[in-house]
Amino acid sequence: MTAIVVDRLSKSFRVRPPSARGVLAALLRPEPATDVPAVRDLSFAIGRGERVAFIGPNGAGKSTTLKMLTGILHPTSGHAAVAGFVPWRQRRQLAHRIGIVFGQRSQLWYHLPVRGSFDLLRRIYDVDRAAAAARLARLAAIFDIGGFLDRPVAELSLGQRIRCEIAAALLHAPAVLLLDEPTIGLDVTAKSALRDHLTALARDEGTTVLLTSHDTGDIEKICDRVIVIDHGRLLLDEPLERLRRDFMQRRAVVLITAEEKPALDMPGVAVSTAEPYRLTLSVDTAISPVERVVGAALLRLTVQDLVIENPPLEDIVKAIYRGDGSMEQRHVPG
Amino acid sequence: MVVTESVAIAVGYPYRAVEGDIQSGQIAAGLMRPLPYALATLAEWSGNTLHRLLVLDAAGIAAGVWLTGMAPVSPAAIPAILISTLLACAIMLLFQLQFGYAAAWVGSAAPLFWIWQKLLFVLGGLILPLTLYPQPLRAVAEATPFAAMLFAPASLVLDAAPARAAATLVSQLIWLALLAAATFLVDRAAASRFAERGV
Repeated sequence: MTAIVVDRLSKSFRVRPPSARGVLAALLRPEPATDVPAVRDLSFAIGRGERVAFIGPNGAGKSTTLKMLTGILHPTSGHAAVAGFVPWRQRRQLAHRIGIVFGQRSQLWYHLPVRGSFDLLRRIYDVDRAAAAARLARLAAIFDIGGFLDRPVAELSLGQRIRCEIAAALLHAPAVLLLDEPTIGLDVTAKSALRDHLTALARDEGTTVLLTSHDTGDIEKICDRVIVIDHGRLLLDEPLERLRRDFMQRRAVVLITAEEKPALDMPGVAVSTAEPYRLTLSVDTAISPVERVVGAALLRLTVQDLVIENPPLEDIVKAIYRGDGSMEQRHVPG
Repeated sequence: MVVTESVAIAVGYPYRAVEGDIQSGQIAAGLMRPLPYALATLAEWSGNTLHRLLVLDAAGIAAGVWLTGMAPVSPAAIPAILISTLLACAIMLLFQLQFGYAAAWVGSAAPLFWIWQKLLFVLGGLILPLTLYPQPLRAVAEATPFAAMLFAPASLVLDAAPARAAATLVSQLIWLALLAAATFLVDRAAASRFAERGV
């Protein structure tokens, strides 16, 4: 059964460039508007229970597509259906069937206790009181939020708030969960816990997940399929395993050492940058697994600090364009 | 004075919340819910207003009794004053919601609100009661919605004869209906703009 269908969806924004002739002249004779395409002829289908990463560089059209799928943005052309509803025509009905988390935007009431926000959302989504109580107990256990349900949202840490945001998005048991950068700003521990919780919940309840993230760790931990877009066009739609095999097999390992000129020679390991007391390696994990490289480094060098980083999404997209797995040696925290 | 000040202060500045939601994109979270954003915002701010109104009026009435040594109004006038005060707050909330939405077109609603607020102070009778104005100016002021927000409930404190109270409440109800219709149209226009241009 299909949860999301997108068929030749396009969206252009009409933009009028700022006039260089002054305010009055701009009012009297405005510059001609131009159409800037954000999403172009995008098509894909997602089955019920699938967990799909929807990725691309900044400005690729991810958020625009997500907003069209929620119904708050109308397409220029094309068709889409989410949980059986056309989003921009049946937005209210659809709202009962989807849960949405925008990492930077809160749907909780800042000054209310978390429990108060959940109670308001229960009423807004018309969830039966007993069903909501049982649901909240389950979500509180899964996301480990029971300890601060009675604290005002304003007093929560970012990690606690994001866990509450996701639990809030799931209170009405949506069939489809749309997540836009859900782990942005979280520390490594909070990210890991959130990924585990989300994966377990989606698997147990058969929730369809469509996730956008710049963090390849989110994609690898939560999703089993990846859709890549760039400049609004579909670039790739493949199972995660294939993407991992073809484009995500490299890791960056940064070593801070006591040696002034550290060196590590191993098969599948290339030096990205070598600085005094610092060595950045690009590791092809298909040839040398990261744990083997780390083990060798600990054995041969006096390692004072060590960081393992995922390949940045931009590099993956570039590699997809090139059609091979060789990526530039750039690093972002994983 | 207790009535005019308490209405003006109790409503506060909800337009800033709507303006902030539009400027930050936070409005997207509200638009994605099954409850219309305008209704949810009005409900939230009605609660805030009622809460503040209770506290302000209690303090204001206590101060009035303390300063004058007598009950400020006859018990028979209280229902009309209460209803008129609530209608005044509702009209003001609808106005402010529209100012908040104005941010979708003009970026910042503060300059528009500033002009509106000064008109409210002058034509609403906050600076001087409208009864002290020259007749032509008073007639103009009473024909505007500004009088329905401040002067109307305050005037019932002085004179709540049934015919006058009924005329005041009917006038407020007419303004409320007109403002509600205007707010609906602005809400639709803003939703269309967001749907075409994004939030």
